[in-house]
Amino acid sequence: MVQLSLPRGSKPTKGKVHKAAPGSKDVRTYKVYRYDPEVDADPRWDTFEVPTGDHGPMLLDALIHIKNEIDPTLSFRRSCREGICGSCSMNIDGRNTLACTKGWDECQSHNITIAPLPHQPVIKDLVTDLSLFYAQYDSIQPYLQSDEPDPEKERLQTPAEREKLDGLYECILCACCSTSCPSYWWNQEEYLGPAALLQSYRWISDSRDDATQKRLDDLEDPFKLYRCHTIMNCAQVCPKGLNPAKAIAETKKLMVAPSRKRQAA
Amino acid sequence: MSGQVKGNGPRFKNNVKISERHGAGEWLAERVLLVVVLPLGLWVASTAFTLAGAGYDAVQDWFANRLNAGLLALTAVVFFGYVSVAWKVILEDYVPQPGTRKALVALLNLVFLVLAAASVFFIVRMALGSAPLPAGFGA
Repeated sequence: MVQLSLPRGSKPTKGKVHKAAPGSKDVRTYKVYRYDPEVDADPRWDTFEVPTGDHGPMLLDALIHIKNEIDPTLSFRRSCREGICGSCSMNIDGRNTLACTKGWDECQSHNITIAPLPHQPVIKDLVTDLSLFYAQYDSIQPYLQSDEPDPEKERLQTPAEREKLDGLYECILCACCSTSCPSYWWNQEEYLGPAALLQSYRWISDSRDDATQKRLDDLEDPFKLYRCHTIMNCAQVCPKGLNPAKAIAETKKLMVAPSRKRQAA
Repeated sequence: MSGQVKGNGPRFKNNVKISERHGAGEWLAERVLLVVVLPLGLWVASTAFTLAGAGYDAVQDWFANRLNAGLLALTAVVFFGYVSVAWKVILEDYVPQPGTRKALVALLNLVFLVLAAASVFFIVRMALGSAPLPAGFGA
């Protein structure tokens, strides 16, 4: 049935305003999404006025300052603070990115909006439930599958074969791409999303992997793969500069390649 | 969680859909049909521009040419084939219930099949000049 009213937890209200001390210089205003589904009836936007001199150059520094000095109940994920772990992915000024690699001076305005990754269940504030995202990653079997016996040392590749993995292996699974994809918003139960498909193509492209045909068979589905309509949001937001849409397009080409050998279902 | 089935819809394992092992053919068909329909569509548009203002006899002469009628019938079939595939993609995007989705796709396929058949029928009729209409379709 068509739902004519917004579901619970989808319409944020105005929240608390934490003013900067009088006389503060170079103040940025952070509008932060706050929601605890176990306690709050609705989410709210809390506003924090913070002088830039109080913290480091990145938005994660601002969030850590807010949590340490203004409101310790604010929840967000973070770990490496250098764009490697992918923990602090969130939506900043309407665009998914990593808070640790986004400088507050890169934002167009002095009023910066910080929200959780879109279209994911919120656990608390900026922390979303990525269980399905990880299950999708797990489903593509992201590990080497070789028919060859284990070598004494490493499995060798030519430089050209290794080069094919560039632009693929760097993915840090931050979920910025998948959660920026409208197709993923609409059909995430069945569509694998750009991150899992990029990772799948990473193993398909690996000269040491012998499970290419099985991997392609497991992807061939009107929803798992073919919900990608090349919208390109994934490539635009990827904080590592990768292009999942291209990887998906290459996978689609391999699907109909004459060399493809289908395996029994 | 192991294998799960949600109603009569798709099958899932660990909350991730199990592949239906098809989709590549539809994807390829969509592209091939588009590549074919584009030049044919341009040809139909240019023909319509050329024939605009021409008399009834001139238009009938154009249809009497077997190549023209054949290409026009091909255009109609390819066009409705492409529209059918394209609408399937749109319905799959926007209709979440698998049953409703399948029913709507089947209904639209039927509509486009009827439209393609009707187009070919009337093109052939025009090509043959005085071919009679079936009973109930007027003179």
